[in-house]
Amino acid sequence: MSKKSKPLPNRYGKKYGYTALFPIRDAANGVALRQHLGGLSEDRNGSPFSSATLIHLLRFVIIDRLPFEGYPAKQESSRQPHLVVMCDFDGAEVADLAAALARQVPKAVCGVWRHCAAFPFAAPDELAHAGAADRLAQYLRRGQVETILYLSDRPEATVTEILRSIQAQHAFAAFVESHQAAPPDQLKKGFFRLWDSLVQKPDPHPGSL
Amino acid sequence: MANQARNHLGLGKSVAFVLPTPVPRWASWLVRTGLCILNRFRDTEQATAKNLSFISFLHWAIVKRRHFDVFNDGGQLPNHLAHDYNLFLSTYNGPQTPYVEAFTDVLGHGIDFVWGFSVGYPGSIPETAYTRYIALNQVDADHNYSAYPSASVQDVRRCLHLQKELKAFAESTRDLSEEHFRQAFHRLLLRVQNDLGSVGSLPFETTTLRHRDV
Amino acid sequence: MPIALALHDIQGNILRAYRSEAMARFLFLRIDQPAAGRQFIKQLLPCVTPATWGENRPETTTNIALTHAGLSALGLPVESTSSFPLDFRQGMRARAAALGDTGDSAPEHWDEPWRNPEAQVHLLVSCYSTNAGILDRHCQKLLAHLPVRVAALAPHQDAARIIHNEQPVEHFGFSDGLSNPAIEGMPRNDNRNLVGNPDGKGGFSDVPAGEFVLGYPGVGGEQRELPVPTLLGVNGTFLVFRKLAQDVARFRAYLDDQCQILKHVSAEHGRAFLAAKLVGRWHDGSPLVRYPRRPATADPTNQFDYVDDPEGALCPLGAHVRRTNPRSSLGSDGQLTKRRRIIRRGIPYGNFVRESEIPDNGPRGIIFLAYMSGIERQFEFVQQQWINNGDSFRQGNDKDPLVGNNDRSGRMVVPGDERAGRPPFLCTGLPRFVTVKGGAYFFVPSLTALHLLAEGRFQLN
Repeated sequence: MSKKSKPLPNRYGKKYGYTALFPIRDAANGVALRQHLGGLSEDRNGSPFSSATLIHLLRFVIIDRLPFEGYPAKQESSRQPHLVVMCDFDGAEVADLAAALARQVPKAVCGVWRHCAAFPFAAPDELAHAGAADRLAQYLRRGQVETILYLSDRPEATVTEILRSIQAQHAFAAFVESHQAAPPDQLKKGFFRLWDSLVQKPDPHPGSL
Repeated sequence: MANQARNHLGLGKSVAFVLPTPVPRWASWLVRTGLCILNRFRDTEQATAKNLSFISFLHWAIVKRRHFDVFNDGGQLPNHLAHDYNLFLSTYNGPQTPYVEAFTDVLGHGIDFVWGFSVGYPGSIPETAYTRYIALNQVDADHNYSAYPSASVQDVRRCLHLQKELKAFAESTRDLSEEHFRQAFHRLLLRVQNDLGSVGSLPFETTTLRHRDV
Repeated sequence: MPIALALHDIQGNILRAYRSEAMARFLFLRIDQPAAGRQFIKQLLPCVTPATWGENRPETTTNIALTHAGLSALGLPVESTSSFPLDFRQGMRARAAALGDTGDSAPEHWDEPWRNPEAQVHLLVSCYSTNAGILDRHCQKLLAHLPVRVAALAPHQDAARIIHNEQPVEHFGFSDGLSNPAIEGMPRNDNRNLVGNPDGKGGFSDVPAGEFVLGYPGVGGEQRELPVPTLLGVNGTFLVFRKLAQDVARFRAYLDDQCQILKHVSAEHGRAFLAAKLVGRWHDGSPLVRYPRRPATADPTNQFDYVDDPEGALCPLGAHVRRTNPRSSLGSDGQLTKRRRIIRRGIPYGNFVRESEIPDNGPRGIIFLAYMSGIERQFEFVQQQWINNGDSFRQGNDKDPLVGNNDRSGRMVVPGDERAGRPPFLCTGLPRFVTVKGGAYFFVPSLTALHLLAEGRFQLN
C-alpha cells in the first residue's frame, strides 16, 4: 500500500488523525518500553511530548496479545509486541508532525521509538541534523495504518486557540463574579484592562491547564 | 497503565478507549466501505456523536495483516496472521460504563453494520454481552496525553464560544459610553451565560468509577 | 403481558412509601455470633412488613436490611457473599473518596455509630409509625429480646416528617418527597408525584421494575446479575442509607449575602427567587420550568420536562432537581438518563426552624434512603457525575448548589431572562450546606431470603 500521501479521511478541519503500529524490537524491549511509558505522565504537563505544541492528543498502547476470537477461541499472536500510536495534531500531513517532534521533543521521541524496530536514530542529537525531519516522517509513514474514519469535536480549533480560550474563560468568569455590583465606569475600565492583558499573555504551555 | 490524561494539577478529563478486534480478511473491504460511507457524511453523522457530547476524538483504522510485517526486511520470520484488525481508538470524558451504555442506548444497531464483521461481535444490544465483548478485547493505554487535560468536550466548546464572543465584543464596544457599554455587556452575558461554569481538573483522590485505571 | 411483582415477598417502603407513618426509628445492630444473628432474624420475621402492607396496616412497620459484613456475620458462606456486586461488598465508607465524602464529610468526622469502623453496623432495623409512643414501645420490645450475642449500637436514629404549611418539607424549607419513579407493575393510585422516563414522544413511560428490585428486567431489557444462591437475591434490593446534616443557618446566610449582590443585577428579585433557582422548584414544590415567575396556585404536576428550556432560562441547567433527574435535558430523547433512576424515601431528623426563627446548633438534616438494584450505576453515578460534577449540564466542574461537596471555590450560574431584561447572576463561593454524618450500603432481602438467612442452611455446591 502506498504510504506517500494519506487519503482525506485522516484530515478533518485543521486537524490530522494519525494512527500507526510499530513492531517493538523484542519482548525485553517491550517490557522496558512499558516501564518507560508508565513514567511519562509524571511530567508536570502530563507528558514530555507536551513541548510539541501542535499535538492535541497523543497515546501510546503496547499490544502484546491479539484479541480473543469468538468460539472456539483461538489466540492469534505476532512474533513481537507492537506499539500503537494515536496522535491528533494541527497539520496537513505526517511531515508536519515529524518536523515538530524532531525540533521540539527529540529526547522524548528517542526515549520511546528506540525500542521499536528499524528506528533510524541512535541518539536525540541526530534529530537536529539536516534531513532528520524527513527521515523521521518517512519512518512514521511506514508505520502508519489506514485511518478510514476520523472524527474530532472541534475540527477547526488549534491547540493554541483552545488553550488561550481556556485561559480567557478562567479570567473572564472571575471578572464577572467580582463585577456583578460594579458601577458602569468600573465595569468598562475593568473589562478592557482584563481583555488587553489577556491579549498580551503568552500562549499557555500545552498540558499545563 | 494510564487511560486518563493528567498533569500536576490533577486528573484530566480525557480518557482513552482502545479496542482492536479481528476481522476476517474477506470482510475487511466491507468494513472499509461502510466506514468510507460514514466518513463521507462525517459532518451529519457526527451530529449523533456530537449529541453524546463526551467524545473528543475518534479514529477507526484497519490494520491489514501484512502491516505486521511492514518493517520486516527479510531478516525475520514473517507473522502468519489469519485476520486483519479493526483498530478503534477514541477519547472520551467520564467513566467507561456510561460511555458503553451510550453506544448501546443511543447508537444502537447503527454501529453494528460496521462492527458486525468483527469475529465474535455480539451486537451492541443487549448491553451485557456487548460490555463483556469489549472487556475481553479492550487494551489499556500505556500513556495518554492531552494538551488540555482539564477540559472536557463541553468545556472546550464553551471556552471557544466564549472567546469568539469576547473578541467580537471587545472589538465593537471600546468607544461606547459607560452606560451603553454596561447594556452591551449584559447582552453579552446573556449570550455566554452557560459558558461560565468552572473549568478545572478532577481531584486526584476521585478514582472515577469504572475507569480502567490504577 | 404486565409484570407481576411479588409484593408479598418484597419488603415494604420500597415500591410504595410509608406515607402516613410520619415517625421512624432506625436501630443499628452488630452480630457477634452467627447463630445469635439468625435467631434474631427468626424472631423478627413475623413482624417484617411486606410491600402488601396496605392490606393489613400494622401499628408499626418493621423492616430489615444487612450490610455485606452483616451477611458474613450471619454465617453466609464466602461463595455467596463474594457473589454480591463490588460496590456493596466494599461498602459506602470504603468508597467515600469517589462519592465526594471528603473534608467535613469524611468518615473520620461521622457521628456514632458510623464513625468507628470497628463497631460495624451489620443489621439495620427500620420501624415507622403514626404515633411516637407506639413506636418507642415497639422498638424497646425488640431490643429487650435481643439475643445475647447481638449488640445494639448506640445511638439509634430517630426521624420524623416535618409538616409546614400543610406540606411535608425538609429543613431548608422545601417541599420534599415530590418526585419518584413511576414503576411498571405498580398501581399509580393517582399519585401525581410519580414520573417515568421520557418516552421520546413528549410523554413518560413507567420505569421497568428491575431497576429497583432484583430478579426483574431493567431498562435495557436485561436482568441484573443475581447473587448466589438465586433465592437470596430475587425480590431483594439495595438500600443506600446516608445521614445528611443540613446547615440551615449557613444556607440562609448564604442566600442573604448573595441577595446583596443580586439586587444590583435585578432589583425585584430576592431570597425566595434565588432559593428556587438553586433548587429548581419553589418552596411549595412547583417546578420552575413550568412556573418560572411564581409558584403554582393549584397542585403542581410532576409530569414536566425541560425540552423547551435548553439554556436554563426557566430552570437553571445546574439546579438541584435538574441535576438529580435530568429527564430529557441531556438530549437523545432521555436515553442518557434512563438508567439512573432511584427511589427516594428520605425522612428528616432534628427540630425544624421556621423562617422567622434563628437556627440553633442542634442536629438536623435528612436520613437519605434510596433503593435501587445497582448502587454504582444508579446512586453512585448520580452522586459523582451529576451532583459533584457539572459537565453533563455544561456547568464544568461546578457542583450541585444544594447538596454538592462544595468548598467555596465553585459557582452557580442563574441564567438571565432576555425578555425581562434581567442579566444572568453568578452565585459565588458556594459553601457546603449538606454534610455526610454516616451511613452504609445495605441489602434488603425478600421475605423468602430472610427465612433462608434465619435457617442458615446453605447448600451451594
